[in-house]
This record gives sequence, structure tokens and C-alpha cells, in this order.
Amino acid sequence: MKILAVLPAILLATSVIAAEHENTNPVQIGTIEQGKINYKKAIEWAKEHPGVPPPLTPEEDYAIFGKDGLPRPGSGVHIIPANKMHYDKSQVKSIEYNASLLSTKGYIEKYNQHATNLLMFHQIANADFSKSDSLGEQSTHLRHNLSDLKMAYDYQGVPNSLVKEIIGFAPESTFIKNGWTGAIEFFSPQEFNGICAYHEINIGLTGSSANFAKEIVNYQVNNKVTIIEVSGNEASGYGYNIEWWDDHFRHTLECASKVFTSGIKKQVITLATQIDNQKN
Amino acid sequence: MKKTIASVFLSFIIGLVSSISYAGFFGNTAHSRANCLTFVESVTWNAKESHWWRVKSLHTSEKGAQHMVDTFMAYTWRAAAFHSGESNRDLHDPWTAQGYHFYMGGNGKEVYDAYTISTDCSAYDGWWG
Repeated sequence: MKILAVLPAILLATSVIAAEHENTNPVQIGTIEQGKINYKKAIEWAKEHPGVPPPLTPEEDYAIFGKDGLPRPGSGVHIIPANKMHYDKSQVKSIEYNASLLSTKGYIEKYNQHATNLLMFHQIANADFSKSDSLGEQSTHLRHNLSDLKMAYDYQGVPNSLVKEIIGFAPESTFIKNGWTGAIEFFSPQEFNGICAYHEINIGLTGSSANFAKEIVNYQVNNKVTIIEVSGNEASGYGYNIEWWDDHFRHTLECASKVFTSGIKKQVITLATQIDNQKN
Repeated sequence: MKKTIASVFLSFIIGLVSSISYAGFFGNTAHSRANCLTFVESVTWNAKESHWWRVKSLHTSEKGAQHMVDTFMAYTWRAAAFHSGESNRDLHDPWTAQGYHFYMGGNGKEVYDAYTISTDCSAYDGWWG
């Protein structure tokens, strides 16, 4: 009987674990003596430098970044031809093909779960608000007000003049000593029908950095490194994503609409530019 | 052998409970935790969406053992660089978890997102919803 009682939980466990991705295969790094030093160093460093990795030995740096050519913290944004990145020929062709679709057709036709989620966001938000009354500052649930979000910096959100309705705010990135290093504002924009999410991550705090394929980069938002991705279909709706980087923030504006039009695409790019103008 | 099986099962159940109930519910959030009952891990997750992520987690014990766990690139809602067997059972040899979190789309974007560190398994940093 006891087994029957816990069976639903075990079945649920199996389904959830199947959807996750875990890797449990560890590789030894460095000597025991170096490990002892690192243990103390990491803890002490974190007290004074929250969100910033401690200096690494050459072996650690190679294992974490160098071996796979991954961007190092604080190294900025690098624009690289796709065939010089760590992609095989078929991936390079796919990147080039998608870039050509975006410039000719205007979007990539595929089911876009993010767009579906955004289009349903009022219902999702109402369900979350009904159970998130007593959550602490590290909670990842929605807040009604920006002032309810404990941020590690002076987060401003989207200017009110661009917003028809604020739906809510949520944290993003990670929680360091005194708050979250990023946030999302969910809102309906003034200028067009749709639901948008403005993501902002403070790269001064996180050291976020990037390698981008030259083929996907343009400079449409105030001449900053910009990546525009539009995808969707009739079933999911369409997601219009504008990501842009500067010395202080990684910004992403996602907007969803039931239809694709080049007009909405232009309006989302304009909205991103207007948000950015307010940040300067 | 029985102890190993029991330990793995316990890790599974604890990991399960955390993953069902607690995640970045609306944004992509990054976390580390150490000295849990049976494991150490770093995780990037978003309960509502999947992304192409990669997490490398450096696990270091006070006595000097140091392992790196790598999820490699994966399209998932929860990328966990997880290792069971590094636990708080030996109170004289605690662990730290240091997570290096990346977004790794095959779409021409390789992004270093964030660094996380933890010396405990406490209920903070968004673990608990």
C-alpha cells in the first residue's frame, strides 16, 4: 500500500528527470595542494567580489574556457565569422541560411514556445500572483511592483511612456550579495498589440561576455551590437526578439504577436531603440 | 553496494523535489549549492522554457579534492552540473560549488552568463521558488 501511495510521485519524478539535462561525470582538476588553496581562496574572494570568479590557475582556465573556446568573464563582445567559431559545416550553413531568411522573408518559420508563453502571459501571471504573496527577496516568482524586487543595482525598467500596461516583474540572472543582477519586465506596449518582456542583465556585475557570429549581428539599436531573431508560425504565434549589448547591460526585448508583419518587426526595433535611449 | 544504491536513490529523490518545486519561474536563473545531503551542483534553469545551455561546475573540498562537472551543450529547461557523493556526511571535509554558466546556441551565439558560488545547501538564491 505504501508503494502505491508514493507511485504517483515516482512517476512524476521519472517524467521530470527525463526532461532535464544532468551530467554527473566529474574530472579531477589540479593537485590536492592546489585544491586546498582554491577552497579557501574561492570563499574569501567571494566575500569581496560577489558574482566575479576568482583568479584561476592556467589549468583551471583551460578546463573551463580555453579548451572549448568559451568567452571569459569580462572579456566583452567578440564578432567572429561563423566558420571561425566552434561549429561544424552544417551548423555554419544553418546560421547562414537563417540569416538569409530573416533578411528576405523576415522570420524563420517554426513553432515558438516562447511566443506562446508570452501570448498567454496574463493567465500565467494571474496564476502566479495568486500564490506568491509571502515570498522572500530570493523568490523567482512574479512581483506586481518593481519596488518588490530586490536588485543589486538601480534597475529602472521600461519607461512608463512606452508602456500601456505593466503585467509584472521577475528576477533574472543570479542573486549576489545584495540582490539580483538582472530582471524582466512583462508589459503591453503603447504602440502595438502584443505582449513584451524586457530583460536586462547588469554585465558590470556578472561579467557576461559573448562570441557572436558575424552573420547574425547588425547595429540597428543605437549602433550597438544587435541581434534580431523573429520566428514562429500560426499555431504558436510569432516572437520578435531584439538583443543588444553595451558596456553596462545585456538587453533583450521579446515581443509576441499572433501574426507576423514587417510593420510589427519595425515597431519592436523602434521600441528597443526607445528603451535604450532612456538608459543613456 | 547497498549503501551506494541508497545514496544514489536519496540523491535522486532530493534532486527531484528541488527540480519540481523550485526554479527560475520566469527568467533564466543561475545557482550553485554545496554540502547538501548527498550532492554538489550548479544549475541554470527556467521552469517555463528550454534554452541551449552549458554549465561547468568546479567542486572543491577543504581537503583539496577538486572536480569539474560539465553538462556540455544541451537544450533543456534545467542544465545541472551535478555530482552525487560529494556530501556533507563528512563534516570535516566541506565542499564549495563554483558554477560557470553559459548560453550556447547553435545559432551563432556563445554567451558567458554568470558565475555562482555556494558553500551550503541553504534555502536562498532562488532555489526555493
